[in-house]
Amino acid sequence: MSDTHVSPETAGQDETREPSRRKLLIGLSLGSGALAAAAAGYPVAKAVLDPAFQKGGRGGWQRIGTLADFPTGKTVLVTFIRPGARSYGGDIKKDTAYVTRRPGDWLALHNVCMHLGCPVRHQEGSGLYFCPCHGGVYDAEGVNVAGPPRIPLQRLGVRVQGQEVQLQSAAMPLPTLTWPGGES
Amino acid sequence: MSDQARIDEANNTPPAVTEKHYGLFLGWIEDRTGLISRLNAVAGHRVPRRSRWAFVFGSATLFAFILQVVTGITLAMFFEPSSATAYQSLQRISTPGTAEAVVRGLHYFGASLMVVMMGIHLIRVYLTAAYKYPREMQWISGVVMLFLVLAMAFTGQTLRWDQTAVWSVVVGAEQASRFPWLGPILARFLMAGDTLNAATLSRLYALHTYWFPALLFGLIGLHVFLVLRNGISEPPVPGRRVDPRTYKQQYQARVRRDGVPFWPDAAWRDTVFGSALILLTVFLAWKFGAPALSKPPDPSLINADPKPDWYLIWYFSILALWPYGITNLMIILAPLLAIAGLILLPLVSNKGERAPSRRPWAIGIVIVAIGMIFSLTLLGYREPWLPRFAAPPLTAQQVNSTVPSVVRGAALFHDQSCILCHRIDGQGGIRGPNLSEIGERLTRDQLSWRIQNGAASMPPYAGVLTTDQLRDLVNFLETRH
Ligand code: FES
Repeated sequence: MSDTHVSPETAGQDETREPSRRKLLIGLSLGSGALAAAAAGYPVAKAVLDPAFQKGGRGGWQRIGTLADFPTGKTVLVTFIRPGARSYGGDIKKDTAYVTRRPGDWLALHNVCMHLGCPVRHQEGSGLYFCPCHGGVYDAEGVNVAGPPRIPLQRLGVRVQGQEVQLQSAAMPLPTLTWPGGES
Repeated sequence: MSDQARIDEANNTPPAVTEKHYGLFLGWIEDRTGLISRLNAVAGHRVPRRSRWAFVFGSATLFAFILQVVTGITLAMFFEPSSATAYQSLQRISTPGTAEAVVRGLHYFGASLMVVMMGIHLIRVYLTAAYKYPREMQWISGVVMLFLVLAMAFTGQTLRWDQTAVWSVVVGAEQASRFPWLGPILARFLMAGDTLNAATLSRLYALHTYWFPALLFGLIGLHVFLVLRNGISEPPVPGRRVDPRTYKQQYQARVRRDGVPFWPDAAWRDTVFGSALILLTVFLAWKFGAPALSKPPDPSLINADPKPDWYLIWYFSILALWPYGITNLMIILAPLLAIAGLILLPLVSNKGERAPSRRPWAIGIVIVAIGMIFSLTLLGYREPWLPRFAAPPLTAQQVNSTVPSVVRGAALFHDQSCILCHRIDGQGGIRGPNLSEIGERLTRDQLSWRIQNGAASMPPYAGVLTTDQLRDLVNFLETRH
């Protein structure tokens, strides 16, 4: 059955004859292997993992319309482009916000439910925001008032430049763990 | 049987080959590869006699996996994993009457088949305590595969790059982000950045078609190797306890005494059952095709109601139903506990009784788990928590009053979103109580208190309604009986 012609005795002699040489060979094999794996693995790991460490947060200001598009007291759904989204992705870079012009100030709520991220829907009469996914409800200020969400909708910046209304874009909010009782 | 042959068999090594067993061609193959004798040894290895139909679910899972590999590779030849064109390529693949559409159907029903067979296999192994000594690693590798297959199911559904898929990625990322410290890193790893972007789909595609299958191939190899090495577990016999000191010897002795060759005496059931299921899958794919795509993957289309495929609906229900105070904690804790519990099971309990009749709590756990999954699935289809956005206003006939305040109240019931969650005369949502006869149950004071203060699932209307509006609404609700 055996493929080689080394008898067990000589093999045993080989193994005992040069223990330091064998150690060197093992070290050489594992060492060169580890070095090659590390050299090729570093750029691979970096490419795969870099996006995981991309910082979220706010992006630039984007035009969302003119003053005439935002009658006072009315809540308007606007579309913006998320910051940092690669531009060749098609529609995937779009995101939405609810913008309300109120006497004296503006309210812009990022349309990402703070439970698990579904888009919420504003209701004209009550002014409440309902989430279709698990029934979360936010009041007109974006404060979570019923259902699973534990924190309010995120606010975005709005500014008026002449007649133009601009919104400060933002990445997807990623709520971290809030301990029971610790929510705002 | 010679002593040598017996030892060889006990060690699952091929018996010494005599070339004259094989013809010229097979003899050459055998001489150069040694594969034929090894395959023969595997096919002929003895398994316990009474391993009947209960033992076919593991191999059925393997059958489903092979179907998934073949159909998946075929789909990859047509699918464009680019977020700008994936949806169009999927529409093309789904064109009724084409072979691609049938293949997509096969892949869809094959996924269901794999998940179901894996579930039954898990239950069978648990009920018969086949995870006990010496098969602990079989169980653990199986648990890892269980979660890998669920990861395959999730990523597979996101590759159906439509509206539901896109929001599923978001929901997945938001769940991951709750993980302490690592959360946001995990979420961004999944999305390939701090937000959905062009690389998101490519990443999901690479996970679904390269990484996870590669891991699965390795783990399946390990799992099957261990099944061959440790032998198929015997059907449990009440009173025959597993004792790690003597088990292997006794098992070998029993199998040698009254076992049967795996092929074909035991394997015919695996083959027939697995093939029947594949045929069923082909029938379903051909008859019903793949699930329809939802709207295009455009996050600015906000009228979405994302839901996973049927075998994950129960988990979707759990997300809606955790007590709100601990929901964020449980999103992370519950899966971790499930993983830890499953992996630790054979390590903390690897000996003793195997018979279900002597382990009534095991039967209880299985019944409770199946009951919960079943009822949560039903609930997931009813979606009581879903606000009924499309509910029309109540008709004059339903309001059935000409008192102006009552009529105004009825209008408010719709305009103030009450109807999204409350039902009157068959109209409206089912999140909150049916209010068709609320006038009989609650007084005026109780009604206004509830409306103003809300509840865990109901927003408080203090500050939303004026005093007059509150009065009208209460007037209207009072007339409901
Ligand atoms: S995502 Fe909004 S309630 Fe769950």
